Amino acid sequence: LLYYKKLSRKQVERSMRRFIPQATKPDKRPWPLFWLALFVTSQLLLPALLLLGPRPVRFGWQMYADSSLPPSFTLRLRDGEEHVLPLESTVVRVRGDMWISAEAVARLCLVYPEAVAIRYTQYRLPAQEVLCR
Amino acid sequence: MSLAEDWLQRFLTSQVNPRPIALVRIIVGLAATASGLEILFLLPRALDPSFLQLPLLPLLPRLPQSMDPGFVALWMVCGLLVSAGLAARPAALILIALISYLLLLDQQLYSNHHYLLLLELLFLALAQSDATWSVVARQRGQAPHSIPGWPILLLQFQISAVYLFSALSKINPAFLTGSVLSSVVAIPLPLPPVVLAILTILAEAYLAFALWQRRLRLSAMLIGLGLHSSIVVSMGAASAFEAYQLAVFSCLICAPYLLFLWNKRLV
Repeated sequence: LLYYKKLSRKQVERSMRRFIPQATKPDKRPWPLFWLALFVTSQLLLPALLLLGPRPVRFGWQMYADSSLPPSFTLRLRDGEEHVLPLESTVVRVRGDMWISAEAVARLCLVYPEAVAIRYTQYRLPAQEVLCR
Repeated sequence: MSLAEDWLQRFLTSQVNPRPIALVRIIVGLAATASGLEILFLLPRALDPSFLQLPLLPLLPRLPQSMDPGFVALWMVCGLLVSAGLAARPAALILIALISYLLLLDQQLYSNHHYLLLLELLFLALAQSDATWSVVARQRGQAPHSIPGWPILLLQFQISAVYLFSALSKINPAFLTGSVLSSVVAIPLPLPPVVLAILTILAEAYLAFALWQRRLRLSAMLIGLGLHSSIVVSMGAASAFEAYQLAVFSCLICAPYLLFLWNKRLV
C-alpha cells in the first residue's frame, strides 16, 4: 500500500484501523474499581472475618450453619405465678442470629403491665431476668 | 504486564452479550415481586409495638403501621418494572432503598435472600441489564451488540462467594454431626444426617468453583438445581411460608447460573 499509493504511515494505519478490532475503553462512568473494592471488602473480607466469631451471624452467608435454640420469654406475675409467652405472638420471626438485649425485653413490660419481671433465654446463654417497674 | 494488571485490564474492558443478564433481570424482578408477599406478612408484625423490637439502627424512624400496604405495593411495582425493563434502573434503586430499610429496621427482618436480592439488584442497576429484552429496548427499536462485562462478572463472583462462605461456615461440630440438618428438615431423611451434612458442604464448595470451569459447569448446575429443590422440599415441608421463602431464594441464586452458561466475552 505504501509503495503503490505513496501513502504516509499514518494514513495507512488510519485506513487499516477499521479492520483491526479495537480494545474497548475502560468503563469509567460507574467507577468499576470502586465497586470491585467494595465487593472484595463486603463479600470476601467481611464474611471471612465473621467466620472467626460465633455462628450464625448476619451478612456472612452463614445459612443453617449452626444449631440455635429458639428464645423463650416467661412472665413473672405479682402473685408469683409464671406464664410462658407464645413465640408466634412475641417475636416477628425466630432467627438464630438475633441478639436480644435487656432494653428490648424491658419494652415488653409495657405490653404486659401485669408482669413484675420477664425472664428470657437466648442462644446458649444462661437465662436472664428484667424487672418491670 | 503482571497477571493482576492483565486481569484488571480485562475486568475494565470486557464486553459481553446483553441477553443473559437481561434474562437474569426478568427472573430476579419476578422473584423480587414474589418476595413482596413475605413483607406483607412480616412488616405489620415488626411495626406492631406488642411484638419484640430489635432495631439494628435505633435511630431509623419506624413507619406508621398504616403505611404497610403502600410499602409493599411500591416494592412489588418496582419488582415488576425491573422485570419488564421499564425504568429498570430507578426501580432497582428504589427496591434497594426499601430492602436496606427493612434490613436495618429490625434484626428479625434480616434474611439472606433479601440481602442477596439487594446485591443482585445493585449489579443489575450497574450493568446495562435493560439493553435488550425490555420495554425500553423495544421502544428504542435496537439493542446494542455488547455491554460492559464488569458488573456481570461481579454478580458471578457474588454467587461463588455465597456458596463458598455457606460451605465454610458449615464446617463446625454441630453441622458435621448432622444435628442441624435433623432439626431443620421436616421430612424423613433418605441418608444418615452425618452423610447428608458432608454432602451439603461438598456440594456448596463444588458450586463455588465448578461454575467457572467449562468442563464442570453442567454438572455444577445440575447439582445446584438438585440442592436447592431438595432444600425447598425437605425444609419447606413444615410450613408453606417457609417453602415460599426458600423457593424465592432458589430463584435468586439459580438465575445467575445463566451468566456462567452463556456469557462469552466479546472483547
